[in-house]
Amino acid sequence: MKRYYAQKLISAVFVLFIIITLNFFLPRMMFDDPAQPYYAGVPEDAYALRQEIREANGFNDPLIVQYGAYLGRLFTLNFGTSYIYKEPVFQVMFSRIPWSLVITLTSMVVSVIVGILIGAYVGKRREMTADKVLLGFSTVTTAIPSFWLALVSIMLLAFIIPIFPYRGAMTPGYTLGFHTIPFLVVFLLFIAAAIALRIILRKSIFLFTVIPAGLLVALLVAVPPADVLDVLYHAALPLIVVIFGSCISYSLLVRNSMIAVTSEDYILTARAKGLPPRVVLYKHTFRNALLPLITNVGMSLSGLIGGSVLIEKIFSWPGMGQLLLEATNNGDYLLSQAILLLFAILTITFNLITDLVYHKFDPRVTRA
Amino acid sequence: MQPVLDIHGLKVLFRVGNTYIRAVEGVDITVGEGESVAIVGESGCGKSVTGLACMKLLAQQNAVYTAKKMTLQTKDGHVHDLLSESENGMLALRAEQIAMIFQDPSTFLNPVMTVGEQMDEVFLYHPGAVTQEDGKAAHKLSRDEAKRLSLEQFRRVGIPDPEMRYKQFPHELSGGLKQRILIAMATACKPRLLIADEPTTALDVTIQAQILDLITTLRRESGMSLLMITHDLGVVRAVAERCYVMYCGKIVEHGYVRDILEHPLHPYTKALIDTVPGLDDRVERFVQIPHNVPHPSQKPSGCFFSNRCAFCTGICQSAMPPLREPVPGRQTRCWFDKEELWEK
Repeated sequence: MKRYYAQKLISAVFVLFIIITLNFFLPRMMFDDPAQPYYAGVPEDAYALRQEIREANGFNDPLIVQYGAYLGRLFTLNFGTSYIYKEPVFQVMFSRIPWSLVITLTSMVVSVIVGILIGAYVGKRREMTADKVLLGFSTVTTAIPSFWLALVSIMLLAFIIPIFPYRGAMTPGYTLGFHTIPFLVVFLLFIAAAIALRIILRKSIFLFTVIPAGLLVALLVAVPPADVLDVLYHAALPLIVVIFGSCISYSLLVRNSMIAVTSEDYILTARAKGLPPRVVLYKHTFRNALLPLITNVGMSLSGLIGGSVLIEKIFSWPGMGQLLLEATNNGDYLLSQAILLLFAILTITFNLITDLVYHKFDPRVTRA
Repeated sequence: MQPVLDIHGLKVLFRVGNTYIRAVEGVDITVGEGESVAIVGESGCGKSVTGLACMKLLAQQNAVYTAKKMTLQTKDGHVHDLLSESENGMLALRAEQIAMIFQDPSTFLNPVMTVGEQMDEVFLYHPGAVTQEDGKAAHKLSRDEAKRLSLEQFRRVGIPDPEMRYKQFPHELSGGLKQRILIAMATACKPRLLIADEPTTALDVTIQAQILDLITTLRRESGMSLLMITHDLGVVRAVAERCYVMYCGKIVEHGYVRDILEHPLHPYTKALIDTVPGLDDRVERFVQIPHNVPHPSQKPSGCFFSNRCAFCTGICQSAMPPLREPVPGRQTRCWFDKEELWEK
């Protein structure tokens, strides 16, 4: 068991190292002068001044020395100053993360719950009307690209029937009120409660349920209610678009796996034991049928912070996806470098967590 | 005397699209108290379906079954009509009165639950079967009580180191151990009747013998009846007293095992016995029955065995022979008597 954890951890660290290295060399291969972001305001022909800036920021050192300095800066979370925002990259980035989470986390929680409910309902009714409706519907929805749906939703729900705003995360002129101390207090309390429950009742399920719930409650406490409503009002359209697509695909996933598991031999054993149908369903069918969903959700967790570039662009949502787009378009490579690194770290971390947690649900994986 | 299981004229049809496939076509089976009965036949002859029908475990939506009579006598002497029994009624009968073990132990255990949890369930959901024995009323079992009973049951079926096995998952156990776990679950409530659907097919030969011994021992201890479904004549000889030979959803021969194996009446039974290779046979090729079992939707007219039978004549192709009793206590579904056939 320990070996399994160690192997996973070592390979994750190795992949991370490769990504960090690539992240260092890529801009140096892409741009003629990687010192570009440091020249802010310095005219093209001020060669001497430019040379000085290069020297001061270490761009004249041998590549290997630069690489070492880059690694050093990473460990102190110093990603440099953003070219477009004139602020530290770290700060710019982290001010955007909560906005992406509003869309991605909400839509994920809603679509997983809805997906499980629909999938389970339909999975028990194979080849009946509900099943045929879901299958037909999913064929159509998977064929619809999300940006098209986003545009149609703006046309329908913001112009023809103007009930929702179609751009921005808040009414113009407003800023989000946020009380850091109550947020931290409430969130830490919930984390402590989750750990206490885990230790007393010995069920890891509390870690997965109480902590996210705590995050939600803490956010509601920290942000004034009027602001919460304003944000949700603005988030309505992007949420509708994202949830629409993903809840159908989760439903389909759960439905398929329910059907596959229902015809498994061990379900017959469970029924032959004279277990009531609800026990067969929840303890035997469900527990096995949700395995593919766990993998799927684990994989998409890393996308939570990244947000969706297309959706955020269309709805002018100030999230990470938009930020990445801005950074790329304006050649702000220090910012895009940091964003890509963050995505990479998140992807690796969540895949690692999924791998490590998965065996709790499916004990067979340790053999592989 | 009232038999434990009494089936008369059982028919099972499967709906496939708009047509029905007849898997079992009017089967009569009785199993007496403490008796050991085998159903033998090739793959696809309907023997497993018959077993599942007794448990009412066929998928509800596309299986239709009818019978003139299908009764189960419980331990208290009460006779249940399985046909009219509700699903709720069946929940109480399954495991407590009629239990089943299956062919492939590796796929019949839930892979994500420890075998201990799976064993506990039997006790947790049938507390009456274990707590009522000493005259007291049934009460709910605690997890610890269930665990204690499970470990006891593991010991009964000869699982070494039950404490360790209890915490393990199915993939950590060998095939023989898994089959023992399945047997432990099926016999936990000391059922009246155990249906064993090819319990040794997926195991290797030495383990097969151990499992058959185990079943026989458990049967002696609790006096339960056994309905052994198998294609293996060796298994039939080892455990069964009486035997039904099934072909294409019909019983073609029935009688005591020794009579059937030594003096088969039906050409199909004779052909089956001839296919078993002996240790000292020196043959170029193993004997085989020509062609395959016909698909249930393409059974020949007349006698279902006519297209593969070495003794087939005109009447065989035009009419299905009735189940006759040429010798007292023995039945055969063939137009001819043994002597007429075997002399040809």
